[in-house]
Amino acid sequence: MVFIEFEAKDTVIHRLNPVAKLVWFGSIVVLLTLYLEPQPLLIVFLLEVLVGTLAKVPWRKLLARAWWAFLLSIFGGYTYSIWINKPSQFWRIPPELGCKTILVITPEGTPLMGYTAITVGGLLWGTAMTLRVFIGVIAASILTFITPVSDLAMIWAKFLPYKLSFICTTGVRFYPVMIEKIQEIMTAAKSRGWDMSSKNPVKRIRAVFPIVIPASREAMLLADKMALAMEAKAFGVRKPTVLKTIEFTPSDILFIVFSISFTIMMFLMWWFYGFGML
Amino acid sequence: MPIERLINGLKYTVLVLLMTSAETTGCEYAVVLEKVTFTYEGSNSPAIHDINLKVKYGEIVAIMGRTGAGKSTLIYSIGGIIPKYIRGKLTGTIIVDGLDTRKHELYELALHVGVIMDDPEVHITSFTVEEDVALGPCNLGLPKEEVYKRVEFALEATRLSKLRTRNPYNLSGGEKQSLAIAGVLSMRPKILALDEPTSMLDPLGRARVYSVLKDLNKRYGLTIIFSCHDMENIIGLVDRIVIMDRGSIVLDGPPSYVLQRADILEECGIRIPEVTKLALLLKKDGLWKTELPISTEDAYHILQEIISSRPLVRGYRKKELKGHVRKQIPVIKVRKLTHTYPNGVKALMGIELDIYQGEYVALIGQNGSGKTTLARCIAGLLRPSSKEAEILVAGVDVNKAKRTDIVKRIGYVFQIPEHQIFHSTVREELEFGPRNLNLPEEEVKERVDRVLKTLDLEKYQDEWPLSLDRGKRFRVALGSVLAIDPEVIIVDEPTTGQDWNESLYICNLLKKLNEEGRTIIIITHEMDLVARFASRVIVMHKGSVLLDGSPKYVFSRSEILKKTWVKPPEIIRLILRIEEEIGISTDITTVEDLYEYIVGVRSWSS
Repeated sequence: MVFIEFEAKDTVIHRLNPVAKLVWFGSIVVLLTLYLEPQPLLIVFLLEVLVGTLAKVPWRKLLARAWWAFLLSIFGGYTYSIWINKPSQFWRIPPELGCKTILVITPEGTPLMGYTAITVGGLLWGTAMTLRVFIGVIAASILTFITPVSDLAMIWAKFLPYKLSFICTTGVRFYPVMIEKIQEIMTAAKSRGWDMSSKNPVKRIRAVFPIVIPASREAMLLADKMALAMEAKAFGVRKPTVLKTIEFTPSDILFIVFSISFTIMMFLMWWFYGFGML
Repeated sequence: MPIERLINGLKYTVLVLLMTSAETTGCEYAVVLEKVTFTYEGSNSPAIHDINLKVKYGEIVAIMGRTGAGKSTLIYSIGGIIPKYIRGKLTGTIIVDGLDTRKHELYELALHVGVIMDDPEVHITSFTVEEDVALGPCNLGLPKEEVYKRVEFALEATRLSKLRTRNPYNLSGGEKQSLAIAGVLSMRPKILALDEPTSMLDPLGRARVYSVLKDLNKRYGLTIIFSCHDMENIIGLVDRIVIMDRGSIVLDGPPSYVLQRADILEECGIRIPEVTKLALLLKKDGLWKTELPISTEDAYHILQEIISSRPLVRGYRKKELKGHVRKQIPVIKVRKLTHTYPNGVKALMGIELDIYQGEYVALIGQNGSGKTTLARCIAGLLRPSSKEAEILVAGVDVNKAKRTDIVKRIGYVFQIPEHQIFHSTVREELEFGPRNLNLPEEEVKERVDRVLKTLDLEKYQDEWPLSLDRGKRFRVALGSVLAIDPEVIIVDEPTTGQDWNESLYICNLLKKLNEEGRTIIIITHEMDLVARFASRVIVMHKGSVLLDGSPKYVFSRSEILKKTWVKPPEIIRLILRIEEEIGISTDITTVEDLYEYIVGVRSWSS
């Protein structure tokens, strides 16, 4: 898994209610979708590091988990940046600066590729794209580290009908169980020389059967037995008692207000002054 | 909706009234079954037949019998799951805590009888232990205070209070099963019906579950009915043992009574305690004249008398039992093997091991001790974490070799055979491995025919593997590996959920393969089978090899074994005591051997 799991710690961030944490995460996502320039993304990143540090996030563990996502974003971001070389692609920075060519990769008229080059604007765009993924992954990791899934379930339980929210909760709860079972089935198939690396598409599809059939059977059995266990626990008999309610403390409100106002401020700067646009 | 609330309120009142009425019936029996017969939908023959059973309030009753004897059907009938959830034809009467199970909904019955299945995983749906226990009372719409009160009670009763905030996914097997019990306990039933609650657990997990059940009975007076296979562990726990065979009850009474009918128990495929079995053999020869013993202590003093009256060779100097002795060239060579899982758990720490051609090795130890990780690293299914690690199997470096080269040399049979089975016939299933090796069709056919014969599966070759019983499904999984013809076969907990006869059959089968020259590595928690079949035992503890040697050597180190919760088989403990007494050392590890020594077929001096 890319994200780190929840750890119960007594920090100011952990103590916040799940709505406040979700609002903070939402703010980061909004800002990431707005900005195409590295500088404002760095501001968001610093804010994120502050929250992570207050939450005592194990940075080393996080980086160890997500390094391949970062590598992928660097590769993807910079690869695509070679097409960022036209004046119409720049709004705030002068087009002549954005289009300033460092290295031409393929000349005009190249089939499929067209004109590609490493430009100043392209490099900025590539860096921004990399930062977006990097910041997004870290934000999601911090969220999973500070929020137990049961707290998130509390939120969806508030907005969804009980049965539907129960299905969602159970789905998330059984995700690792099913993944473990599928891995076990794959290992069992491997132990008999099973291989999916054939280049023949028909063979590749056929190679999936040793996994799909036992995995589907496991999933159905699990669902059936669980339905039975739930029936014996009077599931759906009457309106259930809600044990936990989401309560707001002054620090929750402060955190929410700060996250929303910061986002609005950054949005207005983007809207009126083009802050964060290329 | 006010009307909905009113209806719910009325329903709850009716439920309370029903509970009260059951309580005031004054009936001394918690469970009464009269002439109960049940036939599953689509089946021609009944799974249970003409069952008459009465269980008093506060009793602990174990239901035993071979696989398919009708134990689960009986448990599910008591819990109301049959016929409410599992359909079929039910005749006769089932009264549980004063309620006729046919006339009440499953959730109503759940307030009287809690049903727990063998796999605890299916009971757990929440993200914390506490929330999971609260689920039932919350579903009943009980007031918050009442829910908390019940959760406290259930957690305390199952010793889970300190784990209340933990994610159930990260609990051990025994803790998960305790949580499943807590989950139904919070519904405040007076009866618990458990279907093989310990079949998927290691010795530590079993001990925890049995001790929780004992506590629930002693402290809270709960009536407990459960099915199981391990007679030895339940003797001190239960008030009654009910023996089932082919859907009927054949024996019913306290353990001391049931064990006197060892002949019936053996006929029903039930493993009787080894000391009882020894006494039974001696009784047939007229040497054992009193009641059959149920514990080592009971057996020891009488055996002492028998032995002292026999012409035994005395005064032999006690030989020092030694650990594993290196010999020849190893078929498996493991050096500096470490393995750390992605979540940071260090499963193996610098393992150094040699396994020789033709050995029958038992890998034992607590769950999480590293047994499976070691076996999977040897089979090339897991990669070592250390670069300097070396694993050679039949001369092939499994860290570098191609998968097809590895599977030709080493086969791995998984704990759950269903994970390995996906074809529509047994024959196709067995052909899968050889086909992956691109063998010619004639050779595939020849190999499959040979394996079908070895495993006695010829008449099932055109059947759907998953329609076979558990024992045969295991044979199919073993056959699918055997068809590849590897030199080494690793078998992961083959006896889980199997009855004694099937477990013996499997181990004998492996012994036969071993005698043909194959090296066998078996991972197991069944110490009786280890003593009986293995030539070498490796005890794993916290990712390292704790002990390595012959079964006798390993089981004589009881103080060291305590660390791993491994309990030496009763018979070995008895043998060691006798040897200590008469001052000799032998190679005896089984009941049959000890019997032969006592009656004089073999000499003590050998």
